[in-house]
Amino acid sequence: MIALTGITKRFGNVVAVNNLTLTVPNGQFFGFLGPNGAGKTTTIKMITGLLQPDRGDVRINDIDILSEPEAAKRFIGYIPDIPFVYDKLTGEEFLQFVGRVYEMDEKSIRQGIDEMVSLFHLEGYIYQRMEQYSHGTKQKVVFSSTFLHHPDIIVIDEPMVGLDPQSARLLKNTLTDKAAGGATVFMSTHTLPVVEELCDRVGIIHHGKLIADGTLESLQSDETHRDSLEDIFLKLTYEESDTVAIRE
Amino acid sequence: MSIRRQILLRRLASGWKDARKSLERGSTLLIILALVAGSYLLFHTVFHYLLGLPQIGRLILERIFQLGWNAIFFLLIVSNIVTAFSTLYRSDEVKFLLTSPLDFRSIFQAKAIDNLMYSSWALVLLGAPILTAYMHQLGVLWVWWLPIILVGLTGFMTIAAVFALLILLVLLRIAHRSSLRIAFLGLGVIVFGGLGAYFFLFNPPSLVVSGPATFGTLNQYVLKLGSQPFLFSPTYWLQRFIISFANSEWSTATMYGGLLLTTGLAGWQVLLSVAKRWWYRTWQVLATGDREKQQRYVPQMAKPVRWYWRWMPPQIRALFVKDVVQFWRLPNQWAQFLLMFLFLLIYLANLFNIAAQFNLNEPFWKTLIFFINFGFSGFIIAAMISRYIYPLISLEGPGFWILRSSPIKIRTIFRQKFLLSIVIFLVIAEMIVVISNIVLEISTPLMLLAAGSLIIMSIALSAIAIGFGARFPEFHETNPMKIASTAGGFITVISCLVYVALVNTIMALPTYQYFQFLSHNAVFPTRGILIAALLLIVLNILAIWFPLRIGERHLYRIEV
Repeated sequence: MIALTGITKRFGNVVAVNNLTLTVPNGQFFGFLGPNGAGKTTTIKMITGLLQPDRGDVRINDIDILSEPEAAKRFIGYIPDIPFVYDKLTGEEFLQFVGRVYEMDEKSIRQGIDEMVSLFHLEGYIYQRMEQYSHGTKQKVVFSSTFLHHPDIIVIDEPMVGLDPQSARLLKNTLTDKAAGGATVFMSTHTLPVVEELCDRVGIIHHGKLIADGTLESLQSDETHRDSLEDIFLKLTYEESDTVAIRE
Repeated sequence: MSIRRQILLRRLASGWKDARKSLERGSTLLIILALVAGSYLLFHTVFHYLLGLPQIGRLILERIFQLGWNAIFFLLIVSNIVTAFSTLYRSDEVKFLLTSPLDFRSIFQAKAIDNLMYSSWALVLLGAPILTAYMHQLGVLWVWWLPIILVGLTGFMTIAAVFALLILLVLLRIAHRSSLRIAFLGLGVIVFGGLGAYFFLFNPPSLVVSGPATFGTLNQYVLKLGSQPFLFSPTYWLQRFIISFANSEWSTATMYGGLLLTTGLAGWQVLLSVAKRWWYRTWQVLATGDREKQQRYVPQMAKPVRWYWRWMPPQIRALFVKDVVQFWRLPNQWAQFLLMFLFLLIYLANLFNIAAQFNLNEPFWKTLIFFINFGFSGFIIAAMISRYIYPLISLEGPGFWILRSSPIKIRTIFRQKFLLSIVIFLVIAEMIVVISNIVLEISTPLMLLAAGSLIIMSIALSAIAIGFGARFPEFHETNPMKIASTAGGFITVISCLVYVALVNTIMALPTYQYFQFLSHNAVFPTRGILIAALLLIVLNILAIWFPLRIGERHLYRIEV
């Protein structure tokens, strides 16, 4: 379970996330939407312990990530938007490295690698250095490293960028299976059809504030009766400047 | 709280932040200025002392200037080659520029200037005070100092950069026809073979002297060395340029200054012509070459952890293996490491020669050689640690999110880097000290003292490099050479050298007194040894604790 209570993060005079409170229970697939610069990535970075909130609490399975970061991070699997990895390592070496950092035993690491190679079809690449991988293959290795240690909570930032249709389908199935198996999935994306297809619940953040939160059906009934998610999103995040920009 | 009060508090907080940033910048600048001034004073004192030596002083000074600047020239070539890999070949900016309508020559020129700046700015900071001290001692009028430094260093650096980039272009052009590894191997054979031939076949006279060592023989020895400059070397031109100013030989000064600048400019034009034909072709060699063959995955059984790893916690082991594998897969990293090792071997070979030629029973000579050796060992370790250990934290780079989002403590990452540095450099330091002291027939207690001191020095120097590496990280830079050339790298290298100098200074007197006690029945220097030990303890506690503390605190606060 992810529990955010009144978290605020500033960068100088800019308030990136403003008093955000949100709880995502176990087994839920949560879609986190927002325009560029709305505070999605900052929120994700606070959930994963990369950034510390200026105010508020982040709890992962009831563990405060600020006071017990290592214990909380054990439950998290994080997939960033840009898959920077150690280019000089092979895919296999990278997965071994991640397994050891998560203090898995050697047998579990080996089994996990077998499983991930087969799941993400990495058979032909796993012994190559990652500097030779395409963007999509690097993404697959990062997915593998995330799922390797069987996290309870999966946090994903823009997962579909650079993936071919087969890999995108594979990832969607994997994430749905994980959520069905009791894992919490927190996904930030701009690909609205994916949210419509996969998510149990949707949150929309704008200027650092959560302006909508609920199931797709509840958002539709609250706002505009059976509008598509795209319409709901555009109406909720509409600004005067957008109209000027469109006219120009 | 009222809105007005909140605004006031916020303004105060933001004002404090701004003031803190300015203070940080100001103190960094102040440190750099202090280091430049310190270097000037140090070299001024050394040059002044040398010039005061009867008969041989001027000769030694000239010889040291030549040797020092030849070494700097060589290092500049190496650093230009290594930096050029990322600046001219691996950079994303080059990829972007190549898609623009700019011609290859212009792109190459812009990036080559970038490269020259990156790889040479530290030399300017170090070289300027050396040249100033040299000019001061030779009596060059102060109004000429700045023009001489500008002209001299511009020409000197440009020539080194031209050499380096031409070598790199030729190397990669050869690689285009064979492979990158073979081209590097060829370069290695040429460098090692050339040096080997120089030392073993021609047996330079500078390494041969006979008879026991007295001041008389030393004078004869130094006079025999003479000043045998290579007339076409930039070092010689730089030296003549300065000496001509000192002697008010204006036409000669103009000639040598002109030689430096015109050779640099002409070389640059040649480089651009070669680059126009070859650079883009060689860029493609690196962009497309050396792909490993695809190999099908075969499920394997888990291997038990090998016995020599078992003592190490898995997280530290994982970081260790990653760092070592990455190091060996960066050819420019280990190639430079090997080069430093080569220097070390040449140094040890020379020690054999000195030991064979000099009578080292006199306390003065014994102390002198012991300290030169000890100081040099410290200097080597300091240089290597600043170059290879300082960038380690920064090299985690854009992949730092992997560690920050995983259940590993910042302290564990920090300790692993520290431990890695200590393990590697303890082996190297102890190897130097044991071999050199055996060769020099230094007594066992003194050898143990040197070995013990180098253990502590390796720990302290590692702490300085890791601590400052974490305090001034460059997470967006992937080239270790560039990371080592940043302001933080400069502060690290100078701090390491100052530390080595302080250790030597503290140890010098009690060691000399101890030799006097051994050979001239002087009083055992209990007081001197106790004071030195106390000072060393204080110095080492500060050198280990302070950098580690500020580094770890900063690393904990970094947000990625």
